Amino acid sequence: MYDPKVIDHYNNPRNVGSFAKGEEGVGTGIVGAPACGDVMKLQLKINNQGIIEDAKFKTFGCGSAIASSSLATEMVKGKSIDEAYSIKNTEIVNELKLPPVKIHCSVLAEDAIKAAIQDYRKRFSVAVKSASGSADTAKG
Amino acid sequence: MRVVCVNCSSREVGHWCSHCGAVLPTPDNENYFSILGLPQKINLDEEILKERFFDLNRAFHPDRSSRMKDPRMRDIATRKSTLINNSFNTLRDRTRRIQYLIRQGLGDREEKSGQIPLTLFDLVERVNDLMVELKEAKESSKAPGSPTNGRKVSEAAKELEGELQELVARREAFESNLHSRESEWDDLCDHTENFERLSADDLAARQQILQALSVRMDEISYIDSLIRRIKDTLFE
Repeated sequence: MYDPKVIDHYNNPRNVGSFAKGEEGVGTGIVGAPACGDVMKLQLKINNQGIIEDAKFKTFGCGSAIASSSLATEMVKGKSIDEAYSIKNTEIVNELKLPPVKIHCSVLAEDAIKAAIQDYRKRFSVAVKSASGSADTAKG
Repeated sequence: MRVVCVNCSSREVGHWCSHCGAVLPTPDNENYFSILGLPQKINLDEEILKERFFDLNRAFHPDRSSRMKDPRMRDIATRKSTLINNSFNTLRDRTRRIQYLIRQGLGDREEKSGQIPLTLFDLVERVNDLMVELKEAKESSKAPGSPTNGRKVSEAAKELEGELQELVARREAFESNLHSRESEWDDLCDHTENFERLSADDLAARQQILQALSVRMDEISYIDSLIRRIKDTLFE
Protein backbone atom coordinates (compact mmCIF):
# COMPACT_ATOMS: atom_id res chain seq x y z
CA MET A 1 0.00 0.00 0.00
CA TYR A 2 2.84 2.40 0.84
CA ASP A 3 5.37 3.64 -1.66
CA PRO A 4 8.92 2.32 -0.99
CA LYS A 5 10.02 5.93 -0.33
CA VAL A 6 7.54 6.21 2.57
CA ILE A 7 8.81 2.93 4.01
CA ASP A 8 12.40 4.08 3.62
CA HIS A 9 11.77 7.37 5.44
CA TYR A 10 9.77 5.52 8.09
CA ASN A 11 12.48 2.93 8.74
CA ASN A 12 15.40 5.35 8.38
CA PRO A 13 14.01 8.76 9.29
CA ARG A 14 16.47 11.56 8.48
CA ASN A 15 17.33 14.29 10.96
CA VAL A 16 15.39 13.00 13.96
CA GLY A 17 15.87 14.94 17.16
CA SER A 18 16.02 18.45 18.55
CA PHE A 19 18.57 21.24 18.70
CA ALA A 20 19.98 22.14 22.09
CA LYS A 21 17.82 24.56 24.04
CA GLY A 22 18.87 28.15 23.43
CA GLU A 23 20.90 27.29 20.31
CA GLU A 24 21.39 30.34 18.05
CA GLY A 25 19.32 30.86 14.90
CA VAL A 26 16.80 28.09 15.56
CA GLY A 27 13.11 28.42 14.70
CA THR A 28 10.68 25.82 16.04
CA GLY A 29 7.32 24.86 14.59
CA ILE A 30 4.95 22.66 16.57
CA VAL A 31 1.82 21.53 14.77
CA GLY A 32 -0.81 18.85 15.05
CA ALA A 33 -3.89 17.41 13.41
CA PRO A 34 -6.68 16.90 15.96
CA ALA A 35 -8.60 14.46 13.78
CA CYS A 36 -5.85 11.81 13.84
CA GLY A 37 -3.94 13.00 16.91
CA ASP A 38 -0.63 13.30 15.04
CA VAL A 39 1.81 15.88 16.35
CA MET A 40 5.00 17.18 14.74
CA LYS A 41 7.89 19.35 15.87
CA LEU A 42 10.18 20.74 13.19
CA GLN A 43 13.22 22.89 13.88
CA LEU A 44 15.29 24.89 11.41
CA LYS A 45 18.77 26.21 12.04
CA ILE A 46 19.21 29.34 9.98
CA ASN A 47 22.49 31.20 9.41
CA ASN A 48 22.75 34.98 9.22
CA GLN A 49 22.48 34.90 5.43
CA GLY A 50 19.00 33.47 5.89
CA ILE A 51 19.97 30.01 4.62
CA ILE A 52 18.70 26.88 6.36
CA GLU A 53 21.83 25.02 7.42
CA ASP A 54 20.26 22.18 9.32
CA ALA A 55 16.84 20.81 10.25
CA LYS A 56 15.52 18.38 12.83
CA PHE A 57 12.16 16.85 13.54
CA LYS A 58 10.23 14.71 15.96
CA THR A 59 6.89 13.31 14.89
CA PHE A 60 4.43 11.14 16.76
CA GLY A 61 1.96 9.76 14.30
CA CYS A 62 1.44 7.42 11.39
CA GLY A 63 4.10 6.31 8.90
CA SER A 64 3.08 8.92 6.34
CA ALA A 65 3.36 11.74 8.88
CA ILE A 66 6.84 10.56 9.86
CA ALA A 67 7.89 10.19 6.22
CA SER A 68 6.44 13.61 5.31
CA SER A 69 8.34 15.39 8.06
CA SER A 70 11.52 13.44 7.42
CA LEU A 71 11.35 14.42 3.75
CA ALA A 72 10.54 18.02 4.69
CA THR A 73 13.78 18.32 6.70
CA GLU A 74 15.73 17.10 3.67
CA MET A 75 13.93 19.47 1.30
CA VAL A 76 14.54 22.62 3.33
CA LYS A 77 18.28 22.17 3.87
CA GLY A 78 20.31 24.64 1.81
CA LYS A 79 17.24 26.68 0.91
CA SER A 80 16.66 30.30 1.86
CA ILE A 81 13.84 30.91 4.33
CA ASP A 82 11.73 32.45 1.57
CA GLU A 83 12.22 29.42 -0.66
CA ALA A 84 11.40 27.09 2.22
CA TYR A 85 8.32 29.11 3.08
CA SER A 86 6.95 28.59 -0.41
CA ILE A 87 7.26 24.76 -0.31
CA LYS A 88 3.86 23.27 -1.05
CA ASN A 89 2.50 20.07 0.44
CA THR A 90 1.89 18.79 -3.12
CA GLU A 91 5.66 18.46 -3.58
CA ILE A 92 5.70 16.04 -0.64
CA VAL A 93 2.61 14.21 -1.95
CA ASN A 94 4.25 13.71 -5.36
CA GLU A 95 7.60 12.62 -3.96
CA LEU A 96 6.11 10.09 -1.53
CA LYS A 97 3.13 9.20 -3.75
CA LEU A 98 0.79 9.63 -0.79
CA PRO A 99 -2.75 8.31 -1.24
CA PRO A 100 -5.65 10.79 -0.84
CA VAL A 101 -6.36 9.71 2.76
CA LYS A 102 -2.79 10.63 3.73
CA ILE A 103 -2.60 14.02 2.09
CA HIS A 104 -3.27 15.73 5.41
CA CYS A 105 0.10 14.38 6.62
CA SER A 106 1.87 16.42 3.95
CA VAL A 107 -0.23 19.46 4.89
CA LEU A 108 0.97 18.99 8.45
CA ALA A 109 4.60 19.01 7.28
CA GLU A 110 4.03 22.18 5.24
CA ASP A 111 2.39 23.81 8.27
CA ALA A 112 5.37 22.78 10.41
CA ILE A 113 7.88 24.43 8.04
CA LYS A 114 5.84 27.63 7.98
CA ALA A 115 5.39 27.65 11.76
CA ALA A 116 9.14 27.17 12.27
CA ILE A 117 9.95 30.07 9.93
CA GLN A 118 7.37 32.30 11.61
CA ASP A 119 8.89 31.44 14.98
CA TYR A 120 12.39 32.20 13.65
CA ARG A 121 11.27 35.55 12.20
CA LYS A 122 9.60 36.48 15.46
CA ARG A 123 12.75 35.73 17.45
CA PHE A 124 15.12 37.16 14.87
CA SER A 125 13.42 40.55 14.54
CA VAL A 126 13.63 40.93 18.31
CA ALA A 127 17.31 39.95 18.24
CA VAL A 128 18.05 42.51 15.49
CA LYS A 129 16.35 45.28 17.44
CA SER A 130 18.22 44.57 20.66
CA ALA A 131 21.52 44.21 18.75
CA SER A 132 21.15 47.62 17.10
CA GLY A 133 20.02 49.07 20.42
CA SER A 134 23.19 47.90 22.17
CA ALA A 135 25.30 49.19 19.24
CA ASP A 136 23.78 52.64 19.75
CA THR A 137 24.52 52.51 23.43
CA ALA A 138 28.13 51.55 22.69
CA LYS A 139 28.45 54.51 20.32
CA GLY A 140 26.99 56.97 22.83
CA MET B 1 -36.94 32.72 3.85
CA ARG B 2 -39.69 32.90 1.26
CA VAL B 3 -39.43 30.92 -1.94
CA VAL B 4 -41.44 31.07 -5.16
CA CYS B 5 -43.70 28.09 -5.81
CA VAL B 6 -42.77 26.61 -9.20
CA ASN B 7 -46.39 25.61 -9.78
CA CYS B 8 -48.42 28.75 -8.93
CA SER B 9 -45.68 31.39 -8.46
CA SER B 10 -46.89 32.53 -5.04
CA ARG B 11 -44.21 33.45 -2.49
CA GLU B 12 -44.31 30.94 0.31
CA VAL B 13 -42.54 29.61 3.40
CA GLY B 14 -42.08 25.97 4.37
CA HIS B 15 -42.14 22.70 2.45
CA TRP B 16 -45.53 22.94 0.76
CA CYS B 17 -47.33 25.74 -1.03
CA SER B 18 -50.36 26.86 0.94
CA HIS B 19 -52.17 27.80 -2.29
CA CYS B 20 -51.70 24.79 -4.54
CA GLY B 21 -50.16 22.17 -2.28
CA ALA B 22 -47.08 21.75 -4.50
CA VAL B 23 -43.66 20.94 -3.03
CA LEU B 24 -41.74 24.18 -2.52
CA PRO B 25 -38.12 24.50 -3.62
CA THR B 26 -35.57 24.51 -0.82
CA PRO B 27 -34.21 28.00 -0.13
CA ASP B 28 -30.48 28.46 -0.78
CA ASN B 29 -29.67 29.28 2.81
CA GLU B 30 -31.48 26.25 4.24
CA ASN B 31 -29.26 24.40 6.70
CA TYR B 32 -29.48 21.09 8.55
CA PHE B 33 -31.39 22.69 11.42
CA SER B 34 -33.76 24.88 9.45
CA ILE B 35 -34.85 22.13 7.06
CA LEU B 36 -36.08 20.16 10.07
CA GLY B 37 -37.59 23.31 11.59
CA LEU B 38 -35.26 23.15 14.60
CA PRO B 39 -33.42 25.89 16.52
CA GLN B 40 -29.64 25.86 15.93
CA LYS B 41 -28.95 24.59 19.42
CA ILE B 42 -26.45 22.08 20.69
CA ASN B 43 -28.80 20.68 23.34
CA LEU B 44 -31.50 19.61 20.93
CA ASP B 45 -34.58 17.72 21.95
CA GLU B 46 -33.62 14.45 20.28
CA GLU B 47 -37.17 13.11 20.37
CA ILE B 48 -38.39 16.10 18.37
CA LEU B 49 -35.43 15.70 16.00
CA LYS B 50 -36.46 12.09 15.35
CA GLU B 51 -40.13 13.00 14.92
CA ARG B 52 -39.38 15.75 12.42
CA PHE B 53 -37.04 13.50 10.51
CA PHE B 54 -39.49 10.60 10.29
CA ASP B 55 -42.34 12.88 9.16
CA LEU B 56 -40.32 14.66 6.48
CA ASN B 57 -38.51 11.53 5.39
CA ARG B 58 -41.84 9.85 4.78
CA ALA B 59 -43.23 12.88 2.93
CA PHE B 60 -40.31 13.25 0.53
CA HIS B 61 -39.19 9.64 0.31
CA PRO B 62 -38.41 8.56 -3.26
CA ASP B 63 -41.06 5.81 -2.96
CA ARG B 64 -43.60 8.57 -2.74
CA SER B 65 -42.00 11.32 -4.86
CA SER B 66 -41.40 8.94 -7.78
CA ARG B 67 -45.19 8.90 -8.20
CA MET B 68 -45.36 12.71 -8.56
CA LYS B 69 -46.46 13.67 -12.07
CA ASP B 70 -44.57 16.96 -12.41
CA PRO B 71 -40.85 16.21 -13.03
CA ARG B 72 -39.94 19.54 -11.39
CA MET B 73 -41.66 18.43 -8.18
CA ARG B 74 -39.97 15.04 -8.34
CA ASP B 75 -36.62 16.77 -8.65
CA ILE B 76 -37.30 19.16 -5.74
CA ALA B 77 -38.53 16.28 -3.56
CA THR B 78 -35.51 14.10 -4.33
CA ARG B 79 -33.11 16.86 -3.40
CA LYS B 80 -35.05 17.65 -0.24
CA SER B 81 -34.98 14.00 0.72
CA THR B 82 -31.18 13.89 0.41
CA LEU B 83 -30.80 17.04 2.49
CA ILE B 84 -33.19 15.69 5.13
CA ASN B 85 -31.21 12.45 5.39
CA ASN B 86 -27.89 14.27 5.64
CA SER B 87 -29.33 16.61 8.25
CA PHE B 88 -30.55 13.79 10.43
CA ASN B 89 -27.33 11.80 10.14
CA THR B 90 -25.31 14.81 11.21
CA LEU B 91 -27.56 16.24 13.90
CA ARG B 92 -28.35 12.95 15.66
CA ASP B 93 -24.72 12.78 16.82
CA ARG B 94 -23.77 15.44 19.34
CA THR B 95 -20.14 15.75 18.28
CA ARG B 96 -21.04 15.94 14.61
CA ARG B 97 -23.73 18.49 15.44
CA ILE B 98 -21.17 20.78 17.12
CA GLN B 99 -18.68 20.25 14.31
CA TYR B 100 -21.39 21.20 11.83
CA LEU B 101 -22.12 24.45 13.70
CA ILE B 102 -18.42 25.26 13.79
CA ARG B 103 -18.12 24.59 10.05
CA GLN B 104 -21.15 26.73 9.34
CA GLY B 105 -19.89 29.62 11.45
CA LEU B 106 -16.15 29.53 10.85
CA GLY B 107 -15.85 27.98 7.42
CA ASP B 108 -14.77 24.57 6.21
CA ARG B 109 -12.15 23.21 8.53
CA GLU B 110 -11.98 19.61 7.48
CA GLU B 111 -8.53 17.97 7.45
CA LYS B 112 -7.56 20.93 9.53
CA SER B 113 -4.17 21.10 11.14
CA GLY B 114 -2.41 23.90 12.89
CA GLN B 115 -0.09 25.08 15.59
CA ILE B 116 -0.34 23.44 18.98
CA PRO B 117 1.16 24.43 22.33
CA LEU B 118 4.49 22.95 23.37
CA THR B 119 2.84 21.47 26.48
CA LEU B 120 0.65 19.27 24.29
CA PHE B 121 3.62 18.10 22.25
CA ASP B 122 5.53 17.31 25.44
CA LEU B 123 2.57 15.32 26.76
CA VAL B 124 2.37 13.24 23.58
CA GLU B 125 6.12 12.69 23.70
CA ARG B 126 6.03 11.54 27.33
CA VAL B 127 3.16 9.13 26.71
CA ASN B 128 4.90 7.84 23.62
CA ASP B 129 8.14 7.20 25.54
CA LEU B 130 6.20 5.26 28.17
CA MET B 131 4.50 3.16 25.51
CA VAL B 132 7.83 2.36 23.86
CA GLU B 133 9.26 1.44 27.27
CA LEU B 134 6.40 -0.95 27.95
CA LYS B 135 6.65 -2.53 24.52
CA GLU B 136 10.39 -3.05 24.94
CA ALA B 137 9.92 -4.52 28.40
CA LYS B 138 7.31 -6.92 27.01
CA GLU B 139 9.64 -7.93 24.18
CA SER B 140 12.55 -8.66 26.49
CA SER B 141 10.33 -10.54 28.96
CA LYS B 142 9.53 -13.02 26.17
CA ALA B 143 13.22 -13.89 25.92
CA PRO B 144 14.32 -16.52 28.43
CA GLY B 145 16.64 -15.29 31.14
CA SER B 146 16.47 -12.54 33.69
CA PRO B 147 13.56 -12.89 36.13
CA THR B 148 13.56 -9.08 36.63
CA ASN B 149 11.99 -8.58 33.22
CA GLY B 150 8.54 -9.43 34.49
CA ARG B 151 8.88 -6.73 37.11
CA LYS B 152 9.98 -4.22 34.44
CA VAL B 153 6.82 -4.92 32.48
CA SER B 154 4.56 -4.37 35.47
CA GLU B 155 6.42 -1.18 36.45
CA ALA B 156 6.16 0.27 32.94
CA ALA B 157 2.49 -0.74 32.76
CA LYS B 158 1.81 0.88 36.12
CA GLU B 159 3.37 4.15 34.99
CA LEU B 160 1.34 4.14 31.81
CA GLU B 161 -1.84 3.40 33.76
CA GLY B 162 -1.11 6.41 35.96
CA GLU B 163 -0.79 8.57 32.87
CA LEU B 164 -4.04 7.12 31.55
CA GLN B 165 -5.89 8.06 34.73
CA GLU B 166 -4.54 11.60 34.55
CA LEU B 167 -5.65 11.91 30.95
CA VAL B 168 -9.13 10.66 31.78
CA ALA B 169 -9.37 13.27 34.56
CA ARG B 170 -8.13 15.95 32.19
CA ARG B 171 -10.66 14.92 29.59
CA GLU B 172 -13.45 15.29 32.13
CA ALA B 173 -12.29 18.82 32.97
CA PHE B 174 -12.24 19.72 29.26
CA GLU B 175 -15.62 18.14 28.79
CA SER B 176 -17.21 20.19 31.55
CA ASN B 177 -15.66 23.33 30.12
CA LEU B 178 -17.06 22.33 26.74
CA HIS B 179 -20.51 21.93 28.26
CA SER B 180 -20.48 25.42 29.70
CA ARG B 181 -19.53 26.79 26.27
CA GLU B 182 -22.37 24.78 24.78
CA SER B 183 -24.82 26.40 27.19
CA GLU B 184 -23.48 29.81 26.22
CA TRP B 185 -24.19 28.98 22.59
CA ASP B 186 -27.70 27.77 23.34
CA ASP B 187 -28.46 30.88 25.43
CA LEU B 188 -27.34 33.00 22.52
CA CYS B 189 -29.70 31.05 20.23
CA ASP B 190 -32.58 31.66 22.64
CA HIS B 191 -31.87 35.39 22.58
CA THR B 192 -31.46 35.74 18.85
CA GLU B 193 -34.72 36.82 17.31
CA ASN B 194 -33.82 37.03 13.67
CA PHE B 195 -31.28 34.53 12.42
CA GLU B 196 -31.37 35.89 8.91
CA ARG B 197 -30.28 39.36 10.01
CA LEU B 198 -27.66 39.02 12.71
CA SER B 199 -26.15 42.22 14.05
CA ALA B 200 -22.37 42.62 13.95
CA ASP B 201 -22.28 42.14 17.72
CA ASP B 202 -24.33 38.96 17.53
CA LEU B 203 -22.10 37.65 14.80
CA ALA B 204 -18.93 38.42 16.74
CA ALA B 205 -20.32 36.79 19.89
CA ARG B 206 -21.33 33.69 17.93
CA GLN B 207 -17.92 33.39 16.30
CA GLN B 208 -16.17 33.80 19.61
CA ILE B 209 -18.11 30.93 21.18
CA LEU B 210 -17.62 28.73 18.13
CA GLN B 211 -13.90 29.43 18.24
CA ALA B 212 -13.78 28.42 21.91
CA LEU B 213 -15.85 25.31 21.18
CA SER B 214 -13.51 24.39 18.38
CA VAL B 215 -10.42 24.73 20.59
CA ARG B 216 -12.03 22.56 23.29
CA MET B 217 -13.12 19.94 20.76
CA ASP B 218 -9.59 19.76 19.36
CA GLU B 219 -8.10 19.33 22.82
CA ILE B 220 -10.51 16.51 23.51
CA SER B 221 -9.64 14.89 20.17
CA TYR B 222 -5.93 14.86 21.01
CA ILE B 223 -6.62 13.44 24.48
CA ASP B 224 -8.95 10.80 23.03
CA SER B 225 -6.40 9.57 20.56
CA LEU B 226 -3.79 9.36 23.33
CA ILE B 227 -6.22 7.46 25.56
CA ARG B 228 -7.01 5.09 22.71
CA ARG B 229 -3.34 4.43 22.00
CA ILE B 230 -2.50 3.86 25.66
CA LYS B 231 -5.35 1.37 25.98
CA ASP B 232 -4.20 -0.43 22.84
CA THR B 233 -0.70 -0.67 24.29
CA LEU B 234 -1.81 -1.77 27.76
CA PHE B 235 -4.39 -4.31 26.68
CA GLU B 236 -3.01 -5.63 23.40
